Amino acid sequence: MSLSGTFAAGLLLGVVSFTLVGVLTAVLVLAERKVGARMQARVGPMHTGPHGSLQTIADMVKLVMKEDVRPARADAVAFGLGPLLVAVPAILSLAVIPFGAPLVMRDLNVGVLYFLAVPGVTVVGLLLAGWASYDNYSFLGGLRSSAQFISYEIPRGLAVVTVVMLAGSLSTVDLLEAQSRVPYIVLLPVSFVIYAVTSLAEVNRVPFDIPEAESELVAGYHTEYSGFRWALFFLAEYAGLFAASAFGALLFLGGGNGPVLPPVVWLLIKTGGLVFVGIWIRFTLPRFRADQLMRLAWKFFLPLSLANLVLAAAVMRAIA
Amino acid sequence: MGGNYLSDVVFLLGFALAVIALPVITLAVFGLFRPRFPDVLKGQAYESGMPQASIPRRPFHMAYYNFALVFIVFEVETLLLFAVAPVLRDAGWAGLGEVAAFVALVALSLAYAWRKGALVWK
Repeated sequence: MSLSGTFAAGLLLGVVSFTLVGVLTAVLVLAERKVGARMQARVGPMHTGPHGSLQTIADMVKLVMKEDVRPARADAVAFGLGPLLVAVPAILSLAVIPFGAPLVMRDLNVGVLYFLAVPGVTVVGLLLAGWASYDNYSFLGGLRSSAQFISYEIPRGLAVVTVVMLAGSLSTVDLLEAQSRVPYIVLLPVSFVIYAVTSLAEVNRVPFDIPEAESELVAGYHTEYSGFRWALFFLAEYAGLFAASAFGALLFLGGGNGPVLPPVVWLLIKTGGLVFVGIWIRFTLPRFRADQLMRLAWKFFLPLSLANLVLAAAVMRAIA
Repeated sequence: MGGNYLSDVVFLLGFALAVIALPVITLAVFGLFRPRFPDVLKGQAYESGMPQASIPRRPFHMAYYNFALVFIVFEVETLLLFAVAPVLRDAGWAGLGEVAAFVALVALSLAYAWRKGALVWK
């Protein structure tokens, strides 16, 4: 394919991905509200559409039509860039997820690294959003989120290194082939646990939602945001949850591998399972305190992931 | 394995352009329909309804600095491990020994930071 053709394909797939993420957010928000309601013996949204199924669509229309309030003393440029830098990387990271054997947007030879690196930009967006708002709560929220984000990024990366080690490749498609017989969760259970827990922290979800702790920080870095800009933060959370789950399914659960059903369906089933666990945890666990959060990352997960790495390498060597 | 480097970059440029442009366009288009009533009170920062307690542009806690420094050490370590990981399988016991020594060396810096109390959030 010519370079301009490749560029056009990228543009097109970008449009498709953004649209799909919009739809996905609508579905996931509803799923979260319904599952959460079920767990708390409520019924959840019921009024718009059958069993409230159109509630999120109505909310989305409302959000884009809402007034876009910006605090008078906020930094206009940074205030606008913040939500963009949070939402865009989450969607960009989807580019390397293989949804089926031939169905991957781009099989990069550094796909795994790309998936970890691109969402790393989020931390700039969080800081920028918090700082630009000219609000003490936002500022503190931004600082805390970035501290949490970078702390959990390391054990997460080290857990992924073990998978790369075993597969012998950084391409996401090769990972899929490497697990055609045994999914890596069997060989690397500790890595899977580290990945799953740290991923929750990376997307700022319960029990790691201290940046948004309502009782102390109002809404953290997005306190001052409203309307569509606020919706972008929401989009990022659900896109991030989906991407982290899909990537987890790919790394440890064999991605699209499975009998009878087409690969896309298998990947969505496994991803859905992980997303469900994320929602389940949200409605089950209380929130960590800021100091507990940092202690857990640095004094538990980091040593654990280092030991796990060396152990996995040694076992792999001994078997090979 | 992936395609060639140049076409990968060109593809990602297109992809990123679309993903960045769409929210900007959406924001601009709906800007034509949105209500807009600026107001002095509305323009104030929301700090639970009270007048702003202090100026948010101020020095912040020292603990962030410690964590940022330790972060750089381990982030670079992780990156270097990513470079080695794909070939480690065929690198034999010597390769394993080198990686283990590297990890042990960086773990030593973790022990040092731990001992010095840099990992305590206060």
